[in-house]
Formats: sequence, structure tokens, C-alpha cells
Amino acid sequence: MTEQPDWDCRRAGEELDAFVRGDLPLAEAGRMQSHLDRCGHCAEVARYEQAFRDRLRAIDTDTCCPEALLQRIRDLLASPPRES
Amino acid sequence: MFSHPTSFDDEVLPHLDLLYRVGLRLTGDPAAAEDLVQETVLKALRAWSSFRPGSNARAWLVTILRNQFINTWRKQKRAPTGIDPESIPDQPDRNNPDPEGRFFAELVDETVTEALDALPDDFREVVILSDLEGLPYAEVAEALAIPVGTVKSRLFRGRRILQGTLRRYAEETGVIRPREEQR
Repeated sequence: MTEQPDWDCRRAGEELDAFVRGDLPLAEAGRMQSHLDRCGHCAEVARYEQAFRDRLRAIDTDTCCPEALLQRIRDLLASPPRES
Repeated sequence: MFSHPTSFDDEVLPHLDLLYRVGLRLTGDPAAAEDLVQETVLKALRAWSSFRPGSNARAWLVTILRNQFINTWRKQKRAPTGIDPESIPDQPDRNNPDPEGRFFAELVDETVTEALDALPDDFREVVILSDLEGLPYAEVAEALAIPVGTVKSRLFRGRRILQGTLRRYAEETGVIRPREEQR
């Protein structure tokens, strides 16, 4: 197995958002993690971005389509309006 | 007659919650969001024959909802926000008194959504789809008909503006205290 060169701060910064989203492929996530283990500054930025992302993800998590709207849509699908 | 291997109900109904939440965030008004979702379903129904089976129904529906929003809602309501995207710093502020962002968790939903509402539309819709709803870059790009690189750069800038707004708010309201001036 070939040794991959370590990521520098610039490279880590470019992929930070994808890492925080959990969208980085496993190998790259591993390289990001080893950079974060070595670099206190990037680790701090990563925690800041993670806290921000977690807060945004928490908005509207319990918000569902209201029952009245669901019923209107069911009615609509049961007898679709004619093309105008 | 050509028949779809999947039904309209199967493809569309599972996404109604997401459509409603996105509609709610875009319009800021539950009644408007309901109308928007209903119109989206109606448009999708009319366009169903053009939907390619196996393609991404969620992105397709978001595209319809967003177009409907632009055509009917946005023009009547939103004024320019006065934020100059060019003025956004590329790097987070190193003097941040709460560098790990603990204050974010202390803010109530209304504060966060108010800050979100103040974002310029191009940034706002990307943040809503990508950060609030967790859609992958590629799907946001497809829904908004923009390249993935544009999604990433708008997301980056939108997040910076939002972070700045929330941090200022947190400092003003004492959720975090500004770091004392260095002597």
C-alpha cells in the first residue's frame, strides 16, 4: 500500500465542508482526520463548522406536511383537474 | 400507451414533508407554503409524462417548487437584502471569542431563521437545500440548474454571512461576550 502525502491546511480547508457533511469518501475522510489530529487550528475550525451545521440541521426537523394539505393533495390525485 | 414503472404517488408523496419545509423556509409563511406545495404537486402531475423513470424525483420536485416560488411569490415579496457578497471575508475571524461555536446551540430557531431570511436569495436557497435539508451537492446543483462548483461557492459564502450575523447577534444579546481588546 502506498503512503499518501499528508494534507496541508489549504487542502483540508477545501474539503472541510464535505467532511462536516459526511460526504467525503472514506480514504479522504481518514486523511482529513489525521490532519485534524495534528493541526489544532483546523480542528477548531472543523468544530466551529460542525456546531453551525448541527444548528442548521436542527431547524424544522419536526415540521411535516400539515394533514389538511395532505388531504387536499390526496383529493387532487383522486380526481386530477382537467388540463387548462 | 407508455406506462411508468413507478407511480406518481410512489415518486412524489414521500417528498411532501421536504417540499413543505423548503416552501416554508422560502416563503416564511405556513399558508403560502401549503399553496406552494399544492401548486408544485399539480405542476408535477401535469409534467409527469416528461419525468424520466429512475431519475431523481426529489431534485425534480424541488426544481418545480423553486420555479413556482420565483414566478409567483418572490416577485411580490422580497426586497434586496443590502448585503454585499463581495464584502464577506474568506476566512473565519481569528478573534472569535467562541472559536468552537458553542453559541450556535444556544440560539433559538426564530433567531436562526430570521438570519436565514436575510440572506440574499442565491445563497439562501443553497443553504436551505444543502444545510437544512442535507441534500448532496450534486442534487442541489440539479435542482437549481447550476454547476456543483457554484453550489459549493454559494454555500461557502452563504454560511459565512449567516455565521457572521448569528455571531453578532450572540454577542449583542450576551450569549457570547466579545473577547477583550488586546493591549
